Amino acid sequence: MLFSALFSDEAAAMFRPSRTYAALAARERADEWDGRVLAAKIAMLQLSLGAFVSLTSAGRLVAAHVAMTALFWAFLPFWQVVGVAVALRVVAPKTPLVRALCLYFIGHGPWLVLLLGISGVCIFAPNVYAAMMTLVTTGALPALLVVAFVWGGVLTWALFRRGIALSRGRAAAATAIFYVIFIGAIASYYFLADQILPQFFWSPPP
Amino acid sequence: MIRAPLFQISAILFAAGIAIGTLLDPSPDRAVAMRGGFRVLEADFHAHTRFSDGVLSPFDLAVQGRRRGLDVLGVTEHNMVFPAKLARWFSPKIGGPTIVVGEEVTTKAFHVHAIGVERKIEPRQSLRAVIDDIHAQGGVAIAAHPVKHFWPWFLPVRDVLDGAEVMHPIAYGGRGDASWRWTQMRDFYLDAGAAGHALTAIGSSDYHFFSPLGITRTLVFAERDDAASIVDALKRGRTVVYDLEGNAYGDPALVDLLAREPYTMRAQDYGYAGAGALDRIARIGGWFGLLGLFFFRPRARKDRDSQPVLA
Repeated sequence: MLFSALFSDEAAAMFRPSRTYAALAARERADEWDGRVLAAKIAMLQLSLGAFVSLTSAGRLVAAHVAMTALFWAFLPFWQVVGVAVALRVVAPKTPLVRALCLYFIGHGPWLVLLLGISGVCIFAPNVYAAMMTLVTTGALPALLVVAFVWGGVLTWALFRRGIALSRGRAAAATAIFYVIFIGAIASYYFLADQILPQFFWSPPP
Repeated sequence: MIRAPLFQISAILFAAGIAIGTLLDPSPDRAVAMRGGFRVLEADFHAHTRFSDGVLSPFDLAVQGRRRGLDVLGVTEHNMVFPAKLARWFSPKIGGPTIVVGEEVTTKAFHVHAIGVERKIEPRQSLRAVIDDIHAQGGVAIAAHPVKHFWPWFLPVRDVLDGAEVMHPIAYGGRGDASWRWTQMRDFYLDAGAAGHALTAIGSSDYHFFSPLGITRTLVFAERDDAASIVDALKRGRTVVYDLEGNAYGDPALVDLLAREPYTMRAQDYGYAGAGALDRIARIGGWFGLLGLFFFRPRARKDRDSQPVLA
């Protein structure tokens, strides 16, 4: 009771994905998940990203960095919206999309915690360079990235399974479709922008 | 039930962090310095944005360049020039550095900078053809971090390269890989000079994210502070670069000139030390504010709060 009264749905979803999404789905007030709530959740995500970039590049929160990062990284929520929409269109076409998207954007906790952690190193570490090098050279940072990705995947699955109340098979299919679209869109950009083939696979003779 | 307005307090902390951080964000004075009749410009010719493997937008990069006291910033995305043009459009509007449009022509075999080009250089061709294309656009071809790993491709075309990175952040430590050491970059530059083909010395930060834009930089001796004059100075080899021990590389006459009339680089805060107690308090408060915005439940609507998720 105390946990739920004090902490946000986002925090609850991060630690208890299935239970939280089931509880959120049980709420019957449809007007709770409207376009304004969705916009606020996306704005919060972009604000967090902007704050991360500002704290790690400037060492402080600067309005210009927060705003411009939110704008230039808007492709992330855009493709997430597309991914959820297509997944539901294929797997459960009668699901209210805005409500599903509101639930989806509750599930970014692992990534936000990772961003907060990295920016926290820049704020609190006495020797930022040494701390970052330790995180990289020990493999801790790559491992944390993997953990955030897997944890995020669990949340996405819990969304479809409990939040949208799909069967196991449909939830798995929706999760797979979502990630194919989201990762595929970003990978396609890098592919088309010559960021993959020449860099990693093309080598002229000396 | 605890109903302290923790979310609202977090929002106030975050907003205050942004307001104070924005006010205290430094924009160093870039005083005009002249040596030998040339403008001395602090330059970084190797920076990436979020359009490839960097994090900052082209606009943010211009802001970061201004914050770091750079006069000149070469935006060199992997295999594209569009983000550099965005930065070039934006930077004058904020009093940022002069942006030189560039590209890091990148393949598995070599990375070479095209500085002062307007159209994308196709990477899928021989290095000599890449350099020819750069020259055809009036640009300069700079060997990017020419460590031993890249020598099999760089050495055969050394005579047509215009310059080479002789300082790079790997001088601070690097990968420890036997074919990726800073001294190899230095040796590539020195060997070219010894062989009779003096390369333009370049120091750059290979910036992708965090603070170190301009942590190693090039002193350019240009007639004016504009892209054409800067590219012309690179073509004529009018640069000086210092390594971590203070050894100078570049045009010998300019190195001598700076020995007689020293130039002091603008000091920068690469270690997130901040600008005083208020700055530190604001950013710590802002960070905790962001933490609270995520973790705490807002008290937006009574009916909503009456239905806690995990009651």
